Amino acid sequence: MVLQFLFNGLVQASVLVLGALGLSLVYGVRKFANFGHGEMLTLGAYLTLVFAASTRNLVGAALLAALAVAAVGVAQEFLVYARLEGRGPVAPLVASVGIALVLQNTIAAWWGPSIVSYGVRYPDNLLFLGGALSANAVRDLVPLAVGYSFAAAVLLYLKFAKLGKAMRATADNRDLARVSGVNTRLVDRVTWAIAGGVAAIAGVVVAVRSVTFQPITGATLLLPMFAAVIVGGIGSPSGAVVGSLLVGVSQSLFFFFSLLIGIDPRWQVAVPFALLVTVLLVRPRGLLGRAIGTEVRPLRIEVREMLRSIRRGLS
Amino acid sequence: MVDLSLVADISRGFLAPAFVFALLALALNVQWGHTGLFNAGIAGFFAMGAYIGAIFATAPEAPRIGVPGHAGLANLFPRAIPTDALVVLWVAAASAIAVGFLLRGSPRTRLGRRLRLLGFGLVFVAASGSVLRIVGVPTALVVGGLVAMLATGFAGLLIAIPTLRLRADYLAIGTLALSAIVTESIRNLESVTGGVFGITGLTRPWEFGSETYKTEAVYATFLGILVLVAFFLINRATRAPWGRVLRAIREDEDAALALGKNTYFHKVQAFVLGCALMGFAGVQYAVLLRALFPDPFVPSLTFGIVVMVIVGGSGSNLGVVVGALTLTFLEYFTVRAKDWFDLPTALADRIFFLRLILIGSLLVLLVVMRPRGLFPEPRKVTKRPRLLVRGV
Repeated sequence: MVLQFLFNGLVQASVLVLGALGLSLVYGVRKFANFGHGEMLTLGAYLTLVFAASTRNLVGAALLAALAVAAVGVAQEFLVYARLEGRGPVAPLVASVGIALVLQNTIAAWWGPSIVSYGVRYPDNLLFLGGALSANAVRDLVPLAVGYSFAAAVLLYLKFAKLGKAMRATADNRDLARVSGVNTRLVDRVTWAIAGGVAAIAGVVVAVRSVTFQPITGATLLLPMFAAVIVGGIGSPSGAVVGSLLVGVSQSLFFFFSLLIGIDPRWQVAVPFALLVTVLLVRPRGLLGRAIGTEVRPLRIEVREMLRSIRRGLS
Repeated sequence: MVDLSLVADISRGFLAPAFVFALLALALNVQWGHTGLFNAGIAGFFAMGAYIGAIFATAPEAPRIGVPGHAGLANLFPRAIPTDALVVLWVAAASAIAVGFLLRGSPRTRLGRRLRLLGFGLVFVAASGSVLRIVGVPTALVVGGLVAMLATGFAGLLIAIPTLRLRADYLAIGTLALSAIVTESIRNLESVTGGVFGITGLTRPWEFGSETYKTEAVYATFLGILVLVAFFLINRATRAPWGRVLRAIREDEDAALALGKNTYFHKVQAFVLGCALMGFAGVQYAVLLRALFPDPFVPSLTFGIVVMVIVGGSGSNLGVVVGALTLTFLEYFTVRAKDWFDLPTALADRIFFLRLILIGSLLVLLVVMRPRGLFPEPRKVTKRPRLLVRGV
């Protein structure tokens, strides 16, 4: 039983991992939280539907959609975020909210607000380990394979490719990277292209995993993705992978325990939030993150000073 | 002769929601406009306030087959605010002030000052209680409003404490998460909130039976007065030294810190104040709608308020109220356009999404082109610093 739920958690995490990776890349290089990332997932899922209708090939359509969404990502950078350089983290965040509204409602206006699906035929579940583990080849194994292989590809690219190294350098210290001859403009665009392309693949994975999707599918995944990114360490790509695993597995285990002790399993959605708040309280930089820009004072000291000001204010 | 049904429709469809949204916009302006704290979870705080208000304002309903029922506390309170309580408040206020003045000049000045402060606070409470009693607001609503403010303020405090010491975007993520949890809890806690069946049967303090236009217009006026009061109080607070510290934090937190201001505490104060006001607005919304369902509390509500603030000019209290009125009119217009004009069905079906696309594009355009809004807050410092040494 536990094994089955652990496996489900791994599959759940494979859905999150690609989205979280893109979110984390953009955060690392561009230094803001992109609230429009969920919509790139949705857009990828819908574009795949369109391309699949004409090419009759879901894999090819997904790759085409990844290219298209990568272009959308670069266009966002070009039209909006490049103009907000040096305006702090909040201005691009607000702009990303606007872009999320535009994308989500354009999708809804274009393809309608109701649920759609690819109409993939799902085979019977396969049994492993003498029936202890039941998995569906399309619903479980495909997301698992696609999610983790793409995540590994992105991590390897960051580790070994020249542009990948440039991306890490820019994320680390933009000015230093620029004086060392890194073309940071190019790095920004490549970051958006990777984030967009991977997001589109993530969207297709979500759509295959949950059978149906609708214009708000991506937006509902934004919270678990942010939780994964922050738990793993914001701006750290490998952290995003670890964070997704933690969020996915703990959601699934929560489901298991809620069945055991009789809590409403719908509270599953609160699990990412609980993880998020715990990490922010205990270790705001996340599991694998490096120290965040300015120095963060321990909460104990902040609260003590606050209480002292309250006392002083009353007298 | 004015068409009375139009009066009812404009009050109900445009003015009253516009005033509720103006309260939200004022609250967000304290957080974002003045202090630079971006709240992505307005819908959550608003929903919390609305549901607390609705639970206080209705009688409990037992579950029936297929319908979960909901909690209600209205039966615990007398209809009218009890006069005894008001008398006690007035006497307490008067005696606190009197004793405070008697202690003036003695070595116990600090105690005297505290007592006078307490007394004037109590005068405010007692006066507003008396006004509410005279105009006939039921006790349950008053208590509900106070509890809603306390609860949303406390929720805001819980999310503010871990996130406000970090970079500005952590607060945005934290509030987004909180809002998602609140709306999800509302759907899940069926025995309390009625789940998707909602809470119905709220009554307004002033109902005029079949004269709908009167009911609607009176409530819209009441909301307008609330907006005026909130505007006045927030304007006072943000023009006071306290508000100057908030703007200093927005412009350069390190500089404010270097000047000896406890920036963390000021940020927490501004954020919690804004959240409490959002909860209060939620109570008014519940009473306005008379029936409460989880549907309106979605992220696009949050971002609608953000647009209102940025259109009006974030940081300008008057501007955000104007922004709220303008944007709500736009919404009212798009909803009514279907009835007033002969729109092609393709457009009529999509007009809801088109409005949100418009709001989103407006947001992006304003952030890129006019970050201070259409009506920017006037500069508080002279453009050219005066030279200390002449003739250099």
